[in-house]
Amino acid sequence: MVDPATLSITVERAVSIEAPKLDLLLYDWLSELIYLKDRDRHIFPVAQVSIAGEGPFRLEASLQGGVIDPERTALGADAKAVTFHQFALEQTADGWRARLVIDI
Amino acid sequence: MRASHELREKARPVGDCIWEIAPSEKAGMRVPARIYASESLFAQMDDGVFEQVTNVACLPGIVRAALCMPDGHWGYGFPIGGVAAFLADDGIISPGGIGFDINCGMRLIRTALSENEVRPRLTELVDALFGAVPSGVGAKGFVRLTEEAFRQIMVHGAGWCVAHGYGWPEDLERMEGEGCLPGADPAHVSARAVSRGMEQLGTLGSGNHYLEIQVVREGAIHDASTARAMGVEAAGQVFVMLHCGSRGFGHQIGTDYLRAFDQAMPRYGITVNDRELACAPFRSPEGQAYFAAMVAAANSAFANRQVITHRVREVFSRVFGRDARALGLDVVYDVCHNTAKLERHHVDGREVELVVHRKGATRAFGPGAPDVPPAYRTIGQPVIIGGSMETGSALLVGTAHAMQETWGSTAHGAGRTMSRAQAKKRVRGDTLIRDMAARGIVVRAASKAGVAEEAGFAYKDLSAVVDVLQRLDLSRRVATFTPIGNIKG
Repeated sequence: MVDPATLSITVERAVSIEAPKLDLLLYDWLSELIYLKDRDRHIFPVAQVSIAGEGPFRLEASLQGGVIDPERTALGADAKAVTFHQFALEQTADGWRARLVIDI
Repeated sequence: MRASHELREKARPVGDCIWEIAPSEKAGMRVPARIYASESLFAQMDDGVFEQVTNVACLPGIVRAALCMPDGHWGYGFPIGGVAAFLADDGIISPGGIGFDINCGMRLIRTALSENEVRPRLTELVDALFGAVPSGVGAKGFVRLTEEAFRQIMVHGAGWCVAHGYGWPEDLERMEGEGCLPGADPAHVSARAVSRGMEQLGTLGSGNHYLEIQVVREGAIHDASTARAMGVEAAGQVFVMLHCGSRGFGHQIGTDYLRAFDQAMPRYGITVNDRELACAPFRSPEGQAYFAAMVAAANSAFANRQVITHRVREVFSRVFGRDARALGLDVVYDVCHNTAKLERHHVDGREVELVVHRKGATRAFGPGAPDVPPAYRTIGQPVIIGGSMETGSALLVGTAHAMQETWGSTAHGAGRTMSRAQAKKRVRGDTLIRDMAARGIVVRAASKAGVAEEAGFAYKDLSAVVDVLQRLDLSRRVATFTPIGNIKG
């Protein structure tokens, strides 16, 4: 959405999300970041995330980011939403693998 | 992930520029998939189009066929250019058949100015419009609203704007649905959607959204009397074209209900081939709630284009030192191209109520249709088709034949031929802006990368799309417009 190098890190925020399934937790988490971009003009390039539970699942995130400054921030495509088109989350031998298409 | 070639190869020509994939070609298809394209446009369509249009043909309650317009390309759920009608009493509604940018649409505004009058002040004009109409990621609009006022906008659309001084009463007479679709209910809109979208009224957005200054050139008026009825009078005349939608408000409503439908489908025993086609029966509580929220977003999009129109009038008035009325800044028309609407159509000799989904497709009602405003009822509904920022756009009218063939629907744009990422690999935004300036097109953009994504070569030839519409009598060509100034997100 923006070039993080052109964003001053001035904002800290905690986010908690609960969802009945793990893939929905991923959907809700990314949708939250898109929501905060529009509501507060906040972009978070840094996130520490922990996930717990076995259904429902709970995500706790500590975010660091900044406010979009039209004079300084290099803007890219605006993310509108996370789609379910080809949406997949699977556990592999190497860890978790997700496939996502974002509507821009 | 790539789609397979298999379904493309199953498409058979069934008439001039009409291709069909039979229901037997894919498990679960209830009706054929029908694609409107010349051989050349058909060859340019992504394999994903054929996968997606046949997925739509599997949805419950679909009537006659799943359709794809000549500008069709790979989308999410429905293809872009997808049209499908479902029985209101026995069919579904799907956010994936409308898109996240609910009531993304086009508005055309005429002026009484000529290119010769505008050209000396073009850079000043484009700069002033760029300043007055915020665009790009994170842009906030100029209209400060209370939550109650925003709820009024959800219900009254462009009418709220005119009542509050952002427009002229006659503007409403020249819009699809008079700028307000019935059935909105703010009670079905989440607080998140309100807080996300409330401050964005009057913003353009990014991606392929734009505000353009255009000219109708010599030889570009194809039907003089119809053009005159729409205020398109002479070569050299300047127009303003807007392409934008419901912004974060609509995106959030799409997000909320896509997720809700994803969870609701098992309760109704519905399965879909692509999760983005998550849907619910139209008459179910979930279906009715989404419809009421989706209409609220559609009305906010009409309001968005209306307050931007107000800004455009202010800027023109300031730059040219004359009142906007004296400058002839009248709305020609405003069309939606991402909606589902409750419409009555004839099926097997009977009039039935259908939920017509148009995703990247424009309504194109023919002459005499009661939903066409009185000013245009004898000529048919104006259809505004946006092309690329380099090549131009088109004005057409709907036809009686479109009512029978496509539920009164037509194309919405040129249609992409390559992804945004591919386009950015071929050209840099600043290079393209310089090149366009040398060709007399002044561009101001919030994102240079965004300009590269919208290069002319990333789109199909608009005239090829319009030719197919004309050959199939889905719309009739009236005039084409060439850009001279472009504001982009």
